Amino acid sequence: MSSSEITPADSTSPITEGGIARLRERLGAYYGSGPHFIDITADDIRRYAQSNGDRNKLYLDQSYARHSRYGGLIAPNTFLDLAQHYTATAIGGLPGAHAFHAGNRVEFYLAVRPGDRISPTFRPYVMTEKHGKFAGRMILVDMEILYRNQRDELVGKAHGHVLRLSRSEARTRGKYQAQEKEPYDDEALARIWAAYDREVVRGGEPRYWEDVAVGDQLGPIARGPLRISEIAFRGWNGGGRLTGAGGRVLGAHFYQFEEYMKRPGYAEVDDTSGVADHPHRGHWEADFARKIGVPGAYDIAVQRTAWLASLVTNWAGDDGWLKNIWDEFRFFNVEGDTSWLTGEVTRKWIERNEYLVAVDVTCTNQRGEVSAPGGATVVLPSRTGRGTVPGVRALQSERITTTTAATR
Amino acid sequence: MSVTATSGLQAARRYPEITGEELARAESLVGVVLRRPLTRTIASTDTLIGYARAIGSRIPLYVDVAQGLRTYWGSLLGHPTSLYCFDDTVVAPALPGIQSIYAGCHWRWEQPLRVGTPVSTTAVLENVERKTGSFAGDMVLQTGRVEYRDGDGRLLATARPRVLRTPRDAARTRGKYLDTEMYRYSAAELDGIIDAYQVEEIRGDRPLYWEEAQVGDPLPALVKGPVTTEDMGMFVGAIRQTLFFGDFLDHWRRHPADAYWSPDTRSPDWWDASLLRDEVAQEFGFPFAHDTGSQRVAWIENCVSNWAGDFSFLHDLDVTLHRPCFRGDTTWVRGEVTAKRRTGHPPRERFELTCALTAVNQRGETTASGQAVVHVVSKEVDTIPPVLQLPDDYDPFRGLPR
Repeated sequence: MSSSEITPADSTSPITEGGIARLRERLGAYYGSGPHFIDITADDIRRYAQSNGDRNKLYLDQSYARHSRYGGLIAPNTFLDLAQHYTATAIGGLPGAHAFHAGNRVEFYLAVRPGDRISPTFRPYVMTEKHGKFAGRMILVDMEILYRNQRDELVGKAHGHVLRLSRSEARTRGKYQAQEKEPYDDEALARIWAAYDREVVRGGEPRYWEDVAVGDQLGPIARGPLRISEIAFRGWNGGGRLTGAGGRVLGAHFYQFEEYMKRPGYAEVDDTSGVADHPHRGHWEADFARKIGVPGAYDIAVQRTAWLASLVTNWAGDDGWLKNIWDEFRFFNVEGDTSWLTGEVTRKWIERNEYLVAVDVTCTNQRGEVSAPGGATVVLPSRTGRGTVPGVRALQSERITTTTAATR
Repeated sequence: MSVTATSGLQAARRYPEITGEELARAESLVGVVLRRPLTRTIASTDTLIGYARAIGSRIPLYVDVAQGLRTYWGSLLGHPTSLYCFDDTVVAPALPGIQSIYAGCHWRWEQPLRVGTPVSTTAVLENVERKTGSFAGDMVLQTGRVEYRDGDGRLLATARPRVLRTPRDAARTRGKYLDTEMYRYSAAELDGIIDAYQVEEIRGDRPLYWEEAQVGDPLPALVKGPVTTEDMGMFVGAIRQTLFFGDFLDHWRRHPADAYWSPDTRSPDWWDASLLRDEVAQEFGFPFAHDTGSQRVAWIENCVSNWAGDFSFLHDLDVTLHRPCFRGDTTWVRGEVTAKRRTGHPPRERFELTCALTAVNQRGETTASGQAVVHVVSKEVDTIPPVLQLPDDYDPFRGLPR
């Protein structure tokens, strides 16, 4: 075995007919759980919530959570991204093609609690060829990820969209070449700090469906200016197969080499040292990010999904349930960017005994670009006492008389 | 808002010096139990395996649940140094704005760390000492003590970390390391490193017998590197509690000197970014992103554990760090048995092997050295692994209580 096997000299585009055909063969096949948590602890949950800037005590404080409708600590719904990243790119095919997360839709059925064990299963199910300014020919792969707990209950389901493209093509085209970091002035910073100070977590005070009107505003809350430590040290908690992406870390040193050996073309060699290094280091190495056409060290896209989820759960309160959330990643969220998260109620309806509210959510950066538009559906308690709010296992199939408010 | 962005920036361009007043404040904190960031409270499977993998360890007892069950211990164990996950041992109170550089640690373990153990810690500052050196001139060495206890309050281990406080401006202007160049590896060198990974010797479940170990025996060399920001990020993610968003804002408002002001965005960042990013490291005199120091202590422990195997107990490890380990550096850890000693009386008789250890980088510089004391099993006397805390009524004929 030698270092030359890690990075074959062939530098042609990795988007080849053969690769596409190989990937197409894999469509529909289920892949077993990759890296996942063996046992989730209150530590993991707290660290995850903190890494998203979520300060809801439902995720942080057992004694507080005991008085919630869950009777104990639960994880933020988006915690599933630690168990398996929504894009689950490790299915092979197109070796050497970079993977960018393009969007996702996640549905949540049950709260994840300390002591749970989540096993993900995933399959790629659609492949579409795309052409774009960023990297020319790209392959969009849609993934479905099922998350089951130790009782074989489905706790959530994600549809992730991942763009596979040629790094060298993105570099040459340089769509974002002109984008420079803009320094903040005192006023801009003060506005961001004030947003943090004003961020309200509704918590134990129920928000009743009847009290919500179409047009109601959520937020704004701010996440930024984004620092590389907030990207790189997220989770591991922030580990995952990818550092920062969550779940268990793949491992350092030997484990990295082992991975590169298994996946020729995967590593990108560092120019100065000649050493094979991880292709996703653009998340914290700005120079490398520029080499793959990104204007700076960029976030792990699921962070934005998690922030948008915080926006919604902050607003809905602990008695509501974030039923699903979707968002698309239209622009890179790079180091130094500030994301402003806002939402608006667009629809109210009752369906299958659930009192539902639809919310449009938007992540806008300081340049005014909508970096992630999206939406969410929330189940709220009703003043009538009727209706079910999912998330709690024992009540899943029962018709409940919501007494949470009355007894409080 | 008590601190404006501008005042933060001005402070950032002129970092504080060590003053008599601050030094006195540091001294006044000696013996005080310090408030520490909450990282983890339970040695979960994921914490222990994640830590082991983050240091590149391949010892089955520490990375494989099924293998752990089959060992004498009956469960997956944590690497001795995995206690870093519960407190990173950077005991460096006072002297705000003076860089903290990990200078070494003296570990003493009393019990193995089993999966599922709740871990609590207490940290105190034990000593404050003025130092002078070529790196930053006047410096301060802070020695701390961190005690790790299990759920029943029994001592798991004690760490005595040494943290060097180096004024940033002095270190930067002296530039001891600043002309270091990024090492360019030849293909042959890289192949040599990959080969070293392939032949890494791990003793595992074959006991290391007292009778078979001799003074002068070498420990199998262990290679780590070339380290990338990926490797360092993983380690830091494992052991530290990074502050995010609002929590970070609250922190730097209370401790303005803890923020590094990014010149590009004029917004505050965390000094830990120096572990990933060269520009931040250059502010305090390191040319490139560097390791936490504790990472090398962990590698040295990994070398000892590879050699000592599942039936031995690493009791004591004292590592002194001499030079930083930069992004791109490769570290070879080597060791040698320097002494054999029998202590105590049965059933608490101990068979001690002492080893001298060094960490050398690809430039041939010794970046760390240390000494370990390992308790091993004897063929003649007893084959019970040397857990230190035997109960007082221990009866060798009944065996260890489970």
